[in-house]
Order: sequence, then structure tokens, then C-alpha cells
Amino acid sequence: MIVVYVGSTEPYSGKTLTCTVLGIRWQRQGQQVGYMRPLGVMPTRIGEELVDEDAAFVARQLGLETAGRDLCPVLLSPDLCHIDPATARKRLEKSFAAASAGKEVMLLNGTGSLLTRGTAVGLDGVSVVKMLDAKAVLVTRCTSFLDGDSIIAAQRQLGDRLTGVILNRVTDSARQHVEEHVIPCLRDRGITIFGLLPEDTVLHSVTVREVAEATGAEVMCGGDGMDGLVENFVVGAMGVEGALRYFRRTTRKCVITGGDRSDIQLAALETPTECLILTGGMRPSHTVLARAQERNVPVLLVPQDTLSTVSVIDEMTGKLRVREPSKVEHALQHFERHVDLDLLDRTLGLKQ
Amino acid sequence: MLEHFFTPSSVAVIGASTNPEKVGHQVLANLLQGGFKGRLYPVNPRAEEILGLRVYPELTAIEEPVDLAVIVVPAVAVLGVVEQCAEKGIDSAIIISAGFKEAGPEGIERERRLAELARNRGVRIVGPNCLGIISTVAEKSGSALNASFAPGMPHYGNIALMSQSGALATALIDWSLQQNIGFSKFVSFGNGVDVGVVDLLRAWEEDEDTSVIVAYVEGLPDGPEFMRVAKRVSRKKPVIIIKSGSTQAGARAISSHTGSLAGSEQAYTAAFLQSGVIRAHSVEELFDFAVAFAYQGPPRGRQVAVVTNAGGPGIMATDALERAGLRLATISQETVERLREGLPPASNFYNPIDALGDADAERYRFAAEMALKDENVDAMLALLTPQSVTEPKQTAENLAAVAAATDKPVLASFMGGEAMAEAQRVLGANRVPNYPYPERAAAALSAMADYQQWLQEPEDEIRTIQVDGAVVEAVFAAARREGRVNLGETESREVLSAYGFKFPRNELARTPEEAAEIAQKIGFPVVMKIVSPDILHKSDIGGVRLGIQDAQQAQDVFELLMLRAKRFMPDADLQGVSVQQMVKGGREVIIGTSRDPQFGPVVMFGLGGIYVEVLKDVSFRVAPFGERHARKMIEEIRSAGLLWGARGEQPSDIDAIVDSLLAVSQLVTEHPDIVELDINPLKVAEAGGGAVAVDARITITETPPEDERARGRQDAS
Repeated sequence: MIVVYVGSTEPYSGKTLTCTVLGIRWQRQGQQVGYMRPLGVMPTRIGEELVDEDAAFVARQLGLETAGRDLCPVLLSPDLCHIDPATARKRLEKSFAAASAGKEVMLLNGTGSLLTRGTAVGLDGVSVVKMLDAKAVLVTRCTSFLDGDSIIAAQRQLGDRLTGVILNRVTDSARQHVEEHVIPCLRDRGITIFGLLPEDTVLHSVTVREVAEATGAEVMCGGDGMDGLVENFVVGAMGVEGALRYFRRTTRKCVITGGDRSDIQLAALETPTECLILTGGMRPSHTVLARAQERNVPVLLVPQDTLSTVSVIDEMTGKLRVREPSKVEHALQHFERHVDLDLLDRTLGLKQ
Repeated sequence: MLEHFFTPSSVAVIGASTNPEKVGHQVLANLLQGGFKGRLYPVNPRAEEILGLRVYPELTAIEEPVDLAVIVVPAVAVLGVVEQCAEKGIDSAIIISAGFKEAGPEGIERERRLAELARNRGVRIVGPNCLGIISTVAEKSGSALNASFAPGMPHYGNIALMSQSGALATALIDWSLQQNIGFSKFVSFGNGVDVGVVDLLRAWEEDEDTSVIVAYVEGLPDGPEFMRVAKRVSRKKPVIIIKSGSTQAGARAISSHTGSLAGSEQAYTAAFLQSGVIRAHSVEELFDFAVAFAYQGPPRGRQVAVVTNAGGPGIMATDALERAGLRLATISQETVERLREGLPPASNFYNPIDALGDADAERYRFAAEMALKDENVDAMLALLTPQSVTEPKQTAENLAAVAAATDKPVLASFMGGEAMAEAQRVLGANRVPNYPYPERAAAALSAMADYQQWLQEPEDEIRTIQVDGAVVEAVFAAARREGRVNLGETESREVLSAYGFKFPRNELARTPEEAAEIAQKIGFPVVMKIVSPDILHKSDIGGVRLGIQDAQQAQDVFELLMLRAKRFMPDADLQGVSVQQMVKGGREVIIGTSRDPQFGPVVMFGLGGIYVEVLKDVSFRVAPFGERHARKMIEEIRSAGLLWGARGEQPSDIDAIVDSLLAVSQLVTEHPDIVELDINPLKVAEAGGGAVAVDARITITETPPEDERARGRQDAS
């Protein structure tokens, strides 16, 4: 069995998505793929069980029936008790045995930076890799020369266990710099670069449906507009002419405004807008609603005021995660286009 | 046009009711009492006879042809009735019933289906949710028509009134009865699913009974078409419009009322100005103007004589006239001599002509007649206050006689209540507009003078320059491929260069060394600006540096600008720094455009810096416009004097500004997918020196114009 640890030197770099994409790819190649997250930090309740939200999502995407306890044996959060390293280690070994039984490839989903997160309980990435005899793939955001430092630091810790790096969310303007300076520097140190993933609109947007769920909104009209992708959030509190100006310049947006601001709502509907969030529980006039329906723009009604709505959204977009099955397929294509996955497979020693 | 609405020979009332409380009864009663002489068919399946007329169970039971259907059935039944109208061959229907767009989601859907049905079956519709139509005279049939549920029949007159609000219309009719103001036609078009402002303007353009068109409007669905038609009609007869929702709060009220974004106040003002429409700002003004135009012809010029029997009101009138943009006429020596002969020596023989408090009707007549005979006088404002020897009624009769004998407009302000009531009635009956205060008379007279000026102005000829449109389309297409709607500086330059704009030399630097190199090539001093599609307001984040003197400084500034941009906007995509030739001297002006929801592209002009930002000293026109309006835009701003050369400065190159305005007008007209455009600043040299655009920014729609148009068509349905 080949054990692959997908880790990073920072949080929110795309580890979970990479696990999902690799898992699906290998399953399609006919391999028995197992998955777990040794250390979870996002506890969520499924039924009576506490599980890591990301881990549960990946397991669902891969169609695994691994028990929640084994999917993520150690869950840490400020509200949960600390456990001692020996217990943690024992739990991990037991769950690993259960989750990997009968598998050909076992994916381990890292948490936070593999150099630090989990050190106190002995389950930091480097220790886990060694403990479970895994090979590591790093997924790291890269925008400047400085980002190379932590990759090299990881290499020092992991040695030969580091198989290579995927550079994620490289912006257009940073690309040239990364290609000319960062990659040669890493290659000189013998680090393999599997690929360079450009920033992707679909992956870093949220769907209107996700916005509606996060804000607990009542969907007044939706339809297939609910699948629309939102990249920008704009608060409409200005005069209508200013709003029109601003709204025209901002595409793929969600406009947050009061239910009584029909002028702002209509200005939003005149411009490239994916959805309207009306705050304060104030229902829009039916003429506005009719226009929204005509334009196929969902209208979401939330009881809280604009400020609290914005903070909910802020929290959601800060840790933007792929949660929609439709996005997973898109992500797979995105990886296939920009990452040398065959090289990755070969380096890991997967059967071809 | 729309003949069957105004001169039908037969009318069916569908939903006619036996119950006098019901609208279906009132409409029928109004038709009977309003003097309609054609055939009348009440339709109601549950009645035999209403108001002595035979009732038909349904529309199709009527054997004879029907010209006009008046529909008063509940909303749910309306579509079925319209369908029957089509089967019966009725091409005109007034839908009085409410329960459409104004009544919630179901109503909106119902109205959409009604529009579709009417269009497909060729039935013209007035309404729904309206008061109806009144025609006080119908030339062809010789009979009047009151197909409404208005509480009274207005008097005959030559003012045609259309109103988007039925409630306001009832108030206006009631008030007109009290004021003795008459109408030729009256239409309340309610939700305006089909017949609207533009159709009625067309219908009344050649209507011989109508000499003044008056409208209450909340919004205009097709701004450009309105302008085209209004421009033509207003050359034949005055069109006076009151447009509600001219404040932010008012516009918001309209938005939620109509479900469409209200056009901006500036766009309305410009559109009315460019199409010769006279704008009233209150209902009072609407009627003040309407009556003035209905009773008197416009003055040939702005020189006004004031005749009064009291000094104070005379001075007030003088102030009011000046403020309204009119001039106090200089009375000729000859007239003064004549006045001296007929008036007491203490009178004022110069304008305002004061015949003194003891003036009787005859003396007043003499003064008025002499004033009107004067060559220098274009119009007269006649004031009267009730003093002990004043003969109000006789004075009014004399004034009416004098007014009737001249083609110069005479407006009166017989001030007072009880004592003046009789005189005021005499003036009204003799078509001399009377106003309670001189200010209102002055405003009306000013509107007339403006209208006369409009009539005399030649059409604003729109000329276009040869351009390579393909360049523009290519730039837009490239941006859209990358999912951008905001064009970068380089792209905006390319677009504007195609329309003849000149820019300072510039190049993009990606490294400090490149910046120094380019600066050396261009020649110092240079300007450096951060380049990023994500940063629209470069100066807000300190992204612009002027007056860079040498290569070392250019390198430093490059790093400084990049650092600042990264600090303020960590997520911005930074492409580099633009190094530009520094344009020295010249006056900075701003040309901007924005797409108005109702009128399309509106072009703005102002002087750069505080003049636009702080003083809001700007002028607007709806594109396309010609040279005459381009020049007016420049003249209209309060700071225009700075361009003409104030305090010994050389005048700026006005012609270059005119050309720039015309080029922008052409650009945004030819490319309706430009939603915002800013040239800020355009540096204008001294006369003959031309103009250079220093910075420009363009925002386009997400989809190309064909798609936009397709979307527009969908909206209309």
C-alpha cells in the first residue's frame, strides 16, 4: 500500500481539494483508495458523531464508508479537551489500520502547516509522515520568492519523503516572477514541481446556494440562478447613481442592501449581479421581485442587519472551500490541465 | 392615429353594472351624460337593461361593429375579454380594471400576458389600471366622449392632458372645473401596457383641437424614442411635462412603484432641453404654463413691459422677470411722449409703467395699449391691485380688448381675492391668463420665451468623423475574454485614439530599470502611475507621481508605487508602472459619460479639480448631440469664464473641447456597450493648441451589444 500525505506549509492552501481530486482520479484508474485526516480542527456534528467537516466532505466525494471516528481520530478545537501525545498516537494507529484495510492507496489529509500544527499532541505533519511511513506531496500558495522559504524548510524536515510540490493559486501577475525565480531556486535544491495552478474563478468563488446557506437566508426567488458563482460582495448603501457606477464596474457580485432600497436593488439588477441579499428582514417590493425573476437573479432575505450579514460572509469567504460536487469535477479538470499528474503518479510509485 | 380611442362611432362597456356605486355603472353614465352621440352597448351577462340601454350578455352578441371597448371587469377576466375584442374585430380597448403590475406577482404575470396578447392580436390598449379617456370635442363624429369614471366632465378647451397617475388626474379635472380651464383630450393611461406618452404625442401632433400638450410622467420606457418624437412635436405645439421623482427619495419611490430604475435627474433635464420639452416642476407650474400657452402665443423676444397701478408690485414684478431670465423692455422715447400726454404727471412713464393708484379702467387701458404698441416691447405683464377707485371688472374687460387686438402675449396678475374675483373671471373668459402673483406670471412668460427660442433654433446637426470601429471591438472582445469589464489605461487609450484623441507618450515598465530607461527615452520630467486592472482610483492609494526628474528617481518611484499598491491592495493584480510624458500647462477639463437607464448615454462636462468634485459645476447632454449643444455644454458651466480667459489669461482652445465632446458623443452612441467613460483630465492648451487626454477609463457591459439588445427586447415583452 502506498501512503500519501497531502500537506502544506500554511492553512487554506488547497489540501482538501487536492485530496479529493487525487482520490477521484485514482479511483477512476481502478485503484482502491482510502482516506483519513489524522488531525482535525473543524469539528462538525453528523448525527451523534463529531467529525471533521473537510474529512466528511472528502469521504462523501470518494464514496467511502469509513466510520467517522476513524476518518478523523483526533479532533482539536479550543472547546475540546487536549489529549496527550501517547493516546493521540494510539488512536491514530488504530484508525489508520481500520481506514486503510484493503486499500491500495491511502490518502492522508494534512492540517494547517505540516511544520507546526499538531506538534503539542505529537501529530504534526512531519511526525505523521514518519509514523505512517508516508510520502508527502506539498500544496502551497505561491506569490513571491519568500514563499520558497517554507517549502525548503519542509524539505529539510521531510528529506526524501517529500516527493514534490504543487504551487496553487498563482496570480497572473505573479506567474512570471514565480517561473523565473521561485521554481529554479526550488529545482536547484532537488525539489520536484508537479505543476503551477493559476487562480481559478470557479474554484475561488462561492455559489449563491452556499451564500444562502451560510447566511441562513430565505430564498425569495432562485431557480438555476442559485448555481451562479459569486466572486465579489458589495454593500449597497450609497446613492443610486454612485451605486450604478460602482455596480457596473464590479462583475460576478452579490449585492447586500436593505429591503427598502428598491433603487439600489434595481441598480444591481441592471448590472452584472449574481444575487441580492436583502437585510433586516424587509421584503422587497413585488415589482423588484418580478424584475429579479425576469433576470434570473436570486433574491435572499436575511433577518439580521447588513453589518452582521457582512461578517457572516466574511467568515465564509475567508476560508473559502470547495463544497459543491459540481466544483469538484471542475477542480479535477483544472488539475489535469495544469499539473503533471502522471509524473506525480510515477513519483509516488503508483501502478500505471 | 388612435382614432377609435377619441372618435369612436360605437362603444361597448364590458362589465357595465346596474349598481350606481360600481365603476362599471359610472363609466356608462359618463358616456351617456358626456354627450356621446354614437351607439352604446353595455355588456353584462346578468342584466337586461342599464340606464335605459339594452344590455348584451357578451361582446360577440352585438351584431353591429364596435370601435372601442371599455373594459371594467375584474382583472382575472380581462384577458378573456381582450381575446373576444380581437375576435369581434375591435382594435381599441380601454382597460380600467386594476389588478395588474401594481398588485403583486400574479398581477405582474397577468400584465405580461396582456401585453403579449394585445400585440399578437392587434388590439391597442389604454391602461390597465386607469381612469379612462375623455374627449370634449370630436370633430369627425361631432360628439364628445367621456369613457372614464372621472367625477365630472371637463370643459372644452385646447389643452390635451395625459397622466400616468389616475388619482392625480381626477384631482386635476376637478380643479380645472373650478378654475374654468378647458381640455380637448384627456387620457389616463395607468400602467401603460401599450399606449403611452410617445403614442399620445404622435396622436396629438396633428390634432386640430389641441394646441398645447400637457403630461404628468413618472418614467419613460423608451427614452431615445421619446426624444425623437418630442423633438418633432414640440416644433408644432408646446409640450409641457411634469416629471415626478426628481429627488433621490422621489426616484426611489418611483422605482418601487414601477419596478424600473428611474433615469437620473440630469438625464431628464438634458433630454427635455434637447427635445424642446417645457418642464414644469409642480402641478401649479404645469397649469400656469399650460394656460399661458393655451391662451396666448409665445413672445418674439424677451423684452417685457410691466403696466401697474401700484409701485410695490411693479418692482416685485421687475425682480421676478429678471430672475426668470427676461428683460425689462426699454420704452421708446415716442411711447414715453404719448404716455405723458395721457397719464398724470406723477406717473412713471418708464418701465414699469405706473398709471398710479387712482387709475380708472380707461387710464389703465390707455397705458396698456401704448406699451403694447411700442416696438421694443415683446410681451406685457399687467398688474392690478384693488385700490379705492380701481374698477377691476371694467379694467379686466379693457385689458382683454387690448390683448385681443395685438399678437404680443399679455399676461395678467390681478392681485387680490373678493374684490378681484369678477375681474379674474372676465380675464379667464377672454383668454388672458391671470396669476395671483407676478412671480408666477413671470415664470410662465419665461417658459414661453424659451419655447420661442427653441422654435427659432435650427436642428442641432449631428456630424460624425471617420473611425475604425474594428479597433474598438477588438479591445472590448479581448477584455471580455478575460472576464473583465473595466478597461485598463492602455486599452482605454486605444479606444479613444481611434476616435481622434491624443495622449501623452507613455510606456509600461515592469522593473525599476525599465522605468528609468523609458523615462530617459521620453525625456524628463515624467509622470509615473501604477497599472492594475484592479485599481481604479490610482491617486487614492498614492499610485501616481508627477514631476520625476531623473533616472534614479524613476527607479525609486517604481519601487515606491509597487510597494504602496501591494500594501493598500494586497490582492490587486499589478502589471507594472506606466511612465508618461508630462504635459505642462493648459486647463484641465473632464469629460465623462454614463449610461442612463432610460435615455442611454449621457455625456458630462466640467472643469477639472474642485470645480467638478466640490462645486459640482457640470453640464449634461444625452448623446448623440451636435456642435450647438456641445458649445452650450461649455457655456452652461458657471466656471466657463476660466476657459474664455479670465483676468488676462489666454483663452483655452474651445474648439478642441467641442471636438472632444463630439467624439465622445459619437463613441458612446456607436458603442452602446460602453456604460461608463471618464477622460480625466483632458488638458486643453491655449486657443489653437489642441487638447491631450492624460488619463482615461472605460467600463463596458459583460456581454456584447447584440446580446444587450436581445436582452432589451426580452425586457420589453
